[in-house]
Amino acid sequence: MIERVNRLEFECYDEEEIRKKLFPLFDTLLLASLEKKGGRTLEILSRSIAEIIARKAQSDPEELGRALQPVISPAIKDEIADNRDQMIDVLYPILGGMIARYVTNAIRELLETIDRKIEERLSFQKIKRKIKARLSGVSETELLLEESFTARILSVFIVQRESGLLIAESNWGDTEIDDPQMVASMASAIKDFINDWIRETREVSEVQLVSYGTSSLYIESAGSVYLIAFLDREPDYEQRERINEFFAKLLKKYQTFFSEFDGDSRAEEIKEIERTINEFIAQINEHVSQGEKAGSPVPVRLVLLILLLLILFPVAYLLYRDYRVYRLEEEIRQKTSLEVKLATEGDHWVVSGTVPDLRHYDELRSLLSRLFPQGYVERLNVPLYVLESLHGKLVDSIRKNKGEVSTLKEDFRHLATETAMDRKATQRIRRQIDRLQKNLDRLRGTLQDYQKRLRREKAKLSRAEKIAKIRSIILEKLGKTFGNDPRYHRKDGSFDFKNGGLFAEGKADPKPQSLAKLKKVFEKYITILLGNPETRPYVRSIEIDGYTDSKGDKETNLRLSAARAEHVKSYLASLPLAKKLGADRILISRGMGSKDPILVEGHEDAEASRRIKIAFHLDDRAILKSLQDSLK
Amino acid sequence: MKNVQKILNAILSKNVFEYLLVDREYRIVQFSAEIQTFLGKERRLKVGDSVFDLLPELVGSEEKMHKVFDGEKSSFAITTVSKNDRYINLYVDHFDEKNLLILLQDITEITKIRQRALQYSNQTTLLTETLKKIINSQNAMIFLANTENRIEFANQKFLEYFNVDAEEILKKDLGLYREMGPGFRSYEEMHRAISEGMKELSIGEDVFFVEAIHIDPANILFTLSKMTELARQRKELQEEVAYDQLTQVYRKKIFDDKACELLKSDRPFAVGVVDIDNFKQINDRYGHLIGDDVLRSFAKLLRREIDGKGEVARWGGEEFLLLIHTDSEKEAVELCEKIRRRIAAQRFDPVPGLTVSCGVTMRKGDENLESLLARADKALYRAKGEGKNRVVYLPPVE
Amino acid sequence: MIRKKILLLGDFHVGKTSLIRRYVDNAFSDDYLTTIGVKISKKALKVDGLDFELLIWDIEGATPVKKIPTHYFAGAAGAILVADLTRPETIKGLDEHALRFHAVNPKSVCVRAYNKVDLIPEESLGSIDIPPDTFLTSAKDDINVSLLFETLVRRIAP
Repeated sequence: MIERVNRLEFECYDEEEIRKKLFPLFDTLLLASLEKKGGRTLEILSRSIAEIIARKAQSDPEELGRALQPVISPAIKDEIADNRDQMIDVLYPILGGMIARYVTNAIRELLETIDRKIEERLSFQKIKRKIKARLSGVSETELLLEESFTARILSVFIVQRESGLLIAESNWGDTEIDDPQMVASMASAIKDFINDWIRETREVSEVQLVSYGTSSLYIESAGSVYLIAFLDREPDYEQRERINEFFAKLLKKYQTFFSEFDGDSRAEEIKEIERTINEFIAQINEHVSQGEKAGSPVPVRLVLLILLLLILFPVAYLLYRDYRVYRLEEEIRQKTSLEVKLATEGDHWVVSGTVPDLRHYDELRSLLSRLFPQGYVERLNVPLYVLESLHGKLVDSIRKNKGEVSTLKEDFRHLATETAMDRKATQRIRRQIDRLQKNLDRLRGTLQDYQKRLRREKAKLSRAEKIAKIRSIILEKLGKTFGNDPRYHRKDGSFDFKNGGLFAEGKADPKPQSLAKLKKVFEKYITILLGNPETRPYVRSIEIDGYTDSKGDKETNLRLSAARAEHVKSYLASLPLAKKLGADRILISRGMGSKDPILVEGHEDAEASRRIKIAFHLDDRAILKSLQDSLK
Repeated sequence: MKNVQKILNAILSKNVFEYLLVDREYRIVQFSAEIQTFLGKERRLKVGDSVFDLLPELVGSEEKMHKVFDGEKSSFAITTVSKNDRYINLYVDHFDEKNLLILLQDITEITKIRQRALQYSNQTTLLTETLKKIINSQNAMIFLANTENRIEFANQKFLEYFNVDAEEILKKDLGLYREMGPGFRSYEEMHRAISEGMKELSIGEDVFFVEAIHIDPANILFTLSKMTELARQRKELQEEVAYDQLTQVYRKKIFDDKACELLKSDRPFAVGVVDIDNFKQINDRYGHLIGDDVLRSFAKLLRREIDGKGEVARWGGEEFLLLIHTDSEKEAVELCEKIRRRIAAQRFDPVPGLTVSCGVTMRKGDENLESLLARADKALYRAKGEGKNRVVYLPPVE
Repeated sequence: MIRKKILLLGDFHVGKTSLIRRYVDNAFSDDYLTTIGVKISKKALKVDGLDFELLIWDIEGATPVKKIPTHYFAGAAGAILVADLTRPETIKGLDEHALRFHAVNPKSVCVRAYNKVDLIPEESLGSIDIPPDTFLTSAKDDINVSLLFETLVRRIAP
């Protein structure tokens, strides 16, 4: 591939001389026409901006921005409380004109237009085509020519939305559509189908353009009608706009006629409309001469048929499947009043949902075994007590059966030894015993199954309970250890290390003599959190928050508090126990400044305020995940 | 013709895009020359480099790229990436089994325009937000009404007071102006009343100070501040300030306000101008302290005489204004005559024989303050001219 | 060396670009320039003895009408959600950013920055609720900025 590219480039350079001679000519002719579209965008754009701005200030946006800057910056920066009235005086005239609202909206719209234009104009597909063509040596002149032309309208239909009736039709030149009524209803059916389909898959935009081969269908709907245009290639953004504009005009004039149309094709208006459309088509196609005809378009009807097949086939299949599921679910709902979900996995059915009590469970199971005689997978949520009572019933019936079998066996022995019996009777009784024995074995199997299920469910529940209550378990343990310590907060399990004499005023490193106490507290804290394998995986982080007293300015305090937390954090992380339990890796430090100072009788206790707080945070996601896992 | 096509190809390939080919180890296999512009000068690109060094934007997209290689996904894009002061779109596409094609499309120009527009729009949004916050934090009700009686904007207080929501007021004319004050027919009319001097406005039981201003031809800004106890006190305080310090009678401005108010109504009243005769000589002879004393005693007498019948104000110097509630010129003249006689009879130690001249007139049905005062002043001038110490009456119609 | 993609998310003008500039270049500018699209900055750092190269994505902020396109989110190991303390609505908006981000990257982690702490009066600090993994930051005065990034990396680190 690369070789080919290199060769191509080489050949290109071989023609250097010719290129030099011809370059100016082609440059002006082709390059200009190619870039014209982009150029026009810029031009339109700058014109629009100027227009918008000119409404309020007679200068360009930059200048307006600069002019507003002295007003805007302080407005945003300064606190409102300080000079409210003054600010109103200054800013009101600006708000007064409501330029903020209008200009902002106008610019937003403009931005969206630009986005759209970028997408439409500088479409990736086009560029890709070019580069592929270039690298593979395929002629792209054709592509270039094709792209520099606009699409030609072959036919336009106006179709009533509700009825699908064709109101008006107009064709260009020798284009002919053999059964316009049918084509129209097919086209509107396609649009409806696609749009339903899109709504299902939750995409937002309506389908407007359907392309197949070199033919395109452009569909616009408004009010009570569709306009459907058949074109010989994809219309570009401007063309779509022109079509929409025309459609809007048409709608405005004939709105009542359209909505009241009853299928009478003799109406005077129809002729008028068709004339108007004809003029429009001619106007659009004016610049596209016969010679530039891009191949012959696939007949419209064929396009529609292929599209319809392509679209309808998967829809129909999925609809059929969904319909069957729906019917079955409905049947179950009506017969048992239970809302269950059915799905297929591979070739078997899966039933899921919740069953409230034993009666419903029995009903549902008998119904399901009738509906799915080949068997099904049960993923029902059944209350534990239902399982328990089923289990009890089974145990009872096994006991009864067991009794019966043993009596029978006993009887049989008696009969066999005491009376002379004929073979037939013996065999009959033996068969009966065998059957009963088999039945009993089956019941035993089921019983074991139930017992297993019960055990599993119970284990699951207790595991889940433990995980769900992990927070209160930890809090309870912490409470037992720190319960009487006024620095421990029972509610959130945080430890406010106030009165620890940790920091001298203005100092970030803790006093060495105070660290012993902190160490003791911290080691107890992490032993509870991380020493237990049941809680350990769910502890996400241990947060060390640093605080200052409220002396000094805010910036200094925020920095100082962060430094305090950082110092304490690295000290705590260096403890052997912390390393052993892995606490060093989940320690996080934060600076809180002079937030929440310690007050004693209304006065701040500065020494107490200079402190750190220790808090733990659980990993909610991990908890949720193991909860889900444990209940699976 | 074939050559021309090749030339066209060469022209075509200029500057529309740059491209990279990348192998399965994400090493660069081939690249177009101009790609260097996105890299800056310090880095030289060469075959074999990791694409992630060149385009860190693709870190994290390994999975997607893998899918493109295997044809599970046909292409993906990362749009509007800023690199070396240029903006580009990155497209990653399947090329063949061995190579991925990465296209870099330069969209700098259009993106810069977008950025400018967005920046401006963000700033205006911030400004609006800030303004709204400020305006909503105000205690007063502030709203902007247009000439079509729609409320374009109203602050929180207003919405709460009238129990309406912001959407509602924009959509339709709620006719709230009918509930304000005497009931207006439009906001425009309310504005007119305010610009003609209406300062207070009652809505139900509440009284508001009201201000209005046309901020552009179509929009009027109204501010309604509720008159609280504090505001009443302030009003009383203002009353105090309304008095002339020396003589403890009204200042001229207060007289004007009261007279104007009366002129707007059709109640009859008289205006007198009282001037102490030869006051300049008193000042010259006895000094200003004595002069002030005289003015004080004089004003006190005026206040006593006029008490309940009207108002007294100092016009400046030794000239005083009387506003007399009466519908009879005779009564007005008699009151002034009484004052003149009292003064002539009273002793103002140490000044002997103090007299005053006085001009009186009645209001006309439809006239302004200037013409009324001018007529009273003219009467005074006549009294002086006729030898002072007398009262002259000029009737409204001459 | 471990390469990680991280994002800064938040409404417009909350200071995402400023935080990155402070962290990567140790610089700050008062000018407000709207970021458009995405710009990537690189930063090498060592956390717990491991070498990291952070690829920090600065994405244009969300406006009331325009959300951040999710195609930028793909493959990110973590995100810093940034709010402006002077605009309470930007704090409220963080949950939605987190939700959108986690929808694309369920295994990723987030930390939060309440930025522009330099602009609010000290008294009002007390009334601000600071949830876990949230830092009061100031790109202007360089408060808690490197702590913010390092904490995120630490949470990302295996």
